[in-house]
Parts: sequence; structure tokens; C-alpha cells
Amino acid sequence: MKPDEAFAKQGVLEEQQRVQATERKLTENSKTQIRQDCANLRRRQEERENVDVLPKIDLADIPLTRPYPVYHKTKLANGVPVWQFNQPTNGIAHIRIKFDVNSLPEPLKKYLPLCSE
Amino acid sequence: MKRLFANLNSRAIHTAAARGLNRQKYNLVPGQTIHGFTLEESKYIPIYDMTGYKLVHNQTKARYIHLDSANTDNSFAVLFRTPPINSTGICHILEHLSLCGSKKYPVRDPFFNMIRRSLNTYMNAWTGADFTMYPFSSQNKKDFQNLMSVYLDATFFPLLRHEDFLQEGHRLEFTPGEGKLQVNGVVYNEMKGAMSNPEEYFSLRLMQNLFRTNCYRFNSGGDPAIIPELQLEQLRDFHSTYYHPSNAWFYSFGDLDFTEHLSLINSQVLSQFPAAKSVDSKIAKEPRSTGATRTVEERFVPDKMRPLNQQGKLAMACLCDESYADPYKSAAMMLISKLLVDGTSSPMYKALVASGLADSYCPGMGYDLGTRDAVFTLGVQGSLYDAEHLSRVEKAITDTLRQVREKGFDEKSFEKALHETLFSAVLLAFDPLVATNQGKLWPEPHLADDPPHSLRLRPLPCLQCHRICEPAARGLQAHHAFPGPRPAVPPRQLRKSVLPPASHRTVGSSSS
Repeated sequence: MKPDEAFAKQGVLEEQQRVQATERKLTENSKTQIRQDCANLRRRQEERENVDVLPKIDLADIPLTRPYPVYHKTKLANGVPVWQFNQPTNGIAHIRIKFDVNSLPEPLKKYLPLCSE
Repeated sequence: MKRLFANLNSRAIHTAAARGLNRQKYNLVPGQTIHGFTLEESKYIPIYDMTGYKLVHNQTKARYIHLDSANTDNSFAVLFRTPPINSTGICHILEHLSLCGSKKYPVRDPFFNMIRRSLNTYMNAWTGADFTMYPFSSQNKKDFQNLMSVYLDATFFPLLRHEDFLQEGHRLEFTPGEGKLQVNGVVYNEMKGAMSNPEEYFSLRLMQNLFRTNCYRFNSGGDPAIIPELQLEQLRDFHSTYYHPSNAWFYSFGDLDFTEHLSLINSQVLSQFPAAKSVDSKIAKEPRSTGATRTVEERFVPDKMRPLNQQGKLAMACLCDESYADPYKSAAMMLISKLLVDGTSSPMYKALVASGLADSYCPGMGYDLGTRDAVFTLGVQGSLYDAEHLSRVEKAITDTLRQVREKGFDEKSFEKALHETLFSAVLLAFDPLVATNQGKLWPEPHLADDPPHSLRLRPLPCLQCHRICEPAARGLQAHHAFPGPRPAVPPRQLRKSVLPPASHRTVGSSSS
């Protein structure tokens, strides 16, 4: 498929021709009808309407509390606290470990992104 | 005031208790009738820890699938099979118009009003090449029921008013100053934009050249040159023919009691339709041409932001087997497509792009199951200089296909692709809720035949993935790379190996 500026122009021209062909066929009556239709449409678009026929929720429909996920709290041997939440992971283990990089010499820190994603 | 809060609290606790993992259990058996529906089948789907329920409405034969999940985000969709009958955009304009007010909710724009006045987590409506779908989701039960009521009334009992047709479809108007006649309309203008988008136009023309007899030969969105031919009466007829319960598919997902959804649908909609109707909305299979390959050259409106000589597009495409007719075959084709074109080390990428022959792949590269007959597309876009250049691209494509056919894929790439496919299916990064909202989990409507339809979800990301896994396991076990079906995967093998069949694993437990 080829990009073609003439094709774009042709599209615009064809639309004009279609409109012109339609216009030639218009009678005074149909012109009045078009104006009438557009006026009706505008009136309808500007109408104030009662949207309260649509359903909505009340405060009473929203629970004020959320159930907190069940978890187990344990501690590692060195006293680091661990919160454990059971999740259905389809048998796949996910692990994310964070390291304290404070002891890393400042000039080396810029290379850290090489070791991460 | 204090008392009111106390009441609210007790109610909230009561509601919360019945949700998520603590949700109600269903005691439904196949053959049982509930709210006018008969349960045909129920099945636990271990990979997502969901249970699927497939029902059919006794009186109207409307189909219903529910996926029971602990997810408190609930989604609902109603879908109609709407094969376009011409390129007037009839399905697309109807989709817009049905959201312009209905019998029970006669306001101009119930859709956008509900976006503002509800707690929805998703609201949409769209027209596909052969279906029209109206999905939403919400976590709040009352909100969910409100949205469901609005969606059902919009789709089954829309007002389809003349003024809305002029606004959303097409109209003639005289410009305010000069009084020049012009065509206007939301869909009319939207499609003018779409047709000057090179990628969209390319995909449309490719499809129209592949499907020359069935409904895909029409522009389902509407061709601006033809849209003005559409009459409101035709649109109303189309609605009464295709937006009938006998041509409807209802889907729901989540932890809310779906039997309440059934009750709402039955009382608000289905009970008002006295009988089933025979709706001819099946999509015909495209006959295969027996002649030589057809070559078509088309022109398109260029992208103004890029030089003209960098915008060429070339695709070689063919019709394949019927989409999902054999889920195993479809899954295998997806895998072949992945191996052939995905990633910088794939044979097609090497031959077409890394070689410097072309800038990038064309839109729609690879295997596509979006139509009744699946389509395989291979091609490029960018700087395509002349006929000689085009024929070099064609030759590179056919040579690569020939090489792959003779030598096969290398074993490492195959293992990697299979592993990635299966891993992404079980990873749950693939969110069933999102998939539900986007219609990705439901059986394609062009496959879902008249009842009994199948409680078969789509193969990829795949609930059938163990089907591809098993034969692959037999083939690969010789190379010690693949653990055979066993109750659970020892964690140390996970990195190197393909996961065992989903049906052999337990969900929610990390040990065997």
C-alpha cells in the first residue's frame, strides 16, 4: 500500500461531490426540513433534563469498613518482623529483596542500575 | 445521627462477610432451573481458581456464562452477534444510539451520566467486525445492579429517536455563516478520521481483500461515503432482528451472587420476550480461492508527520483454519506465530528488519484469531523504494518460511516460547477481570453456535494450555528439559522448565 497525497485530496473532493449531488436534488421543502431537523436537534441538546430517573447509590449502599486480609505475623531469627499473606499464585514463587546500599562507596552507586532491571 | 451510623455499620459488616473468599457457595446441579434459566454445565477452572457456569434461558434461548471468583471487582457484559449487512456503519451507529436513552431511562446520555454517578471501575461499549459488546464492572453490589439495569434497558429497549440518529449517525446541515451544505454526525466524523489513519485503513483493506464474500467484506465501523445512505428505519429493523435475547450472550464475573443477576435479567428483559426467535447471525466461512496468489495495490492517506517515502506498507496474508474450531490447533498456531515473528531473534525479524531490508513489521503481523477464519499476516512497513525492493521483501518472507519448514525451529527457541506462553498464562499478571471487560476471555461469538454452546474459554492465554503442554512434553522429555505431568513443580526446576499441566497443579498452595 502506497501513501498518496492525491488520494487524500481525492477523498475530500469526492465528499464535496457527494454533498453537491445531494444539494442539487434538494427541494425547498427538504431544505426547510433540514433546517427544522437541525433546530430540533439543537433544542434537544440544550434541553435540561431530569437525570434523576437514573439509579444511583446512597451512602447506606457503601460498606463503611473493608475486611482486612488475613495474615500471619512472625519474626526471623534476627528479630526482623515478617507479615505473611496467602495468595493464589498458581505455584509460582515471587521474590523481591531489598538491600541496604549505604555501605556502597559513592562512586560505585551510579553503576547500580546495571545490576537491576 | 449516631444511631444511623450504628445501623450502617452492622449492615456493612453483614455485606462484607458475604464477599470475596467468604462469598456464598452455589449448590447448582446441571439440569436445574433457576429464574427461567437451565444450568447446562459447571466446571472448575483451576488456573484462575474460578468456577464457570453455563446456562441457557428456557424461553428465549439466551446464553449466559458466569465465572465465579473471589475477586470483589465484578463485571458484566451483554454481547450480540451483529454481522454487518453493508458498510453504512449500521452496527456502529446502533451501538451509539442504544446509549442515547431507553424506555426506563429516557435521558439523552445515560452512559456518561452513569460514569459520573456510579462507582464503576470500567464502562464501555464497542463494535467489532462481527459483534457488539457492552461491558462494565463495579465492586459495589447496588452499583453493579444499577449499571446492569441501565445496560439492559439501553440494549433491549432503546428509544432510537430521530434526533439522536441525526446527532450520532449522520445529518445534513447548512453552515451558520455561508449556508453551505455539509454532512455531520458523530460516527460519520469518527469514521472519516479512522479512514485517514494509515494503520487502521491498511488493516481494513487487508481484511476486505481476504474476505470477499462474507460479512467481513463490509466496513463494520462505516464507510463515510456510504454512511449517509443509512435510514433510521433500517437501524430500527436491525435492532429488532439482532438485539433479541435469542441472539444475545450474557457474561458475568466476580464474587456477587450471579443467581441475582439471572433474576434481574429474567424479570427486566427476558420475560418480555414471549418466545425464542431464529436469528440468522452466523458468520459464513469464506470459500478458499484455488487460483494463484492475488496481488492488490492500494493507496492511502499519508501520515503528515513523516516523509512520504518512509510510509510504504506490504503484507502477505492468507486465510487459515477456522478460529478456535480446534483449540489445540489454534494454540499451536499462536505458538508458531510467536516463534516466527516475535522478538529480535525470530527468523522473520532477522530476515526482514535486522537485515536492513525494511524498517519494521506491518500492522497485524502474525496469527490473528479475530475473525471466523483465522488470518496469518507477514509484512513490513517503512522505506519501500520500488517494485524490485518489494519483490526482495516477498522473497525474504517466502525464503524464511521455506527454511523454517525444512529445518523447523531450534529447540531452545521452542522451549523458550512454550515456557513463556504457559508461564504468562499462570502468572496471574494476566488479570481475568481485565480480560473479561475486554471480552478476551469469552468464547468468540463467531464460534459460539446455537445452544448448546460450549463452556470453552479462549485457548490463549490459555485455559487449554495443558493440551499443548502434554504432546510437547512427550516430544521434549527425551531432551530432559521438560518435567512430565506431576502434582506440582519442584521450585528449583521452574526456571529451566515448562510448567506442568494446569489440571495437575493445586492453586493457592505452594507445596505438593
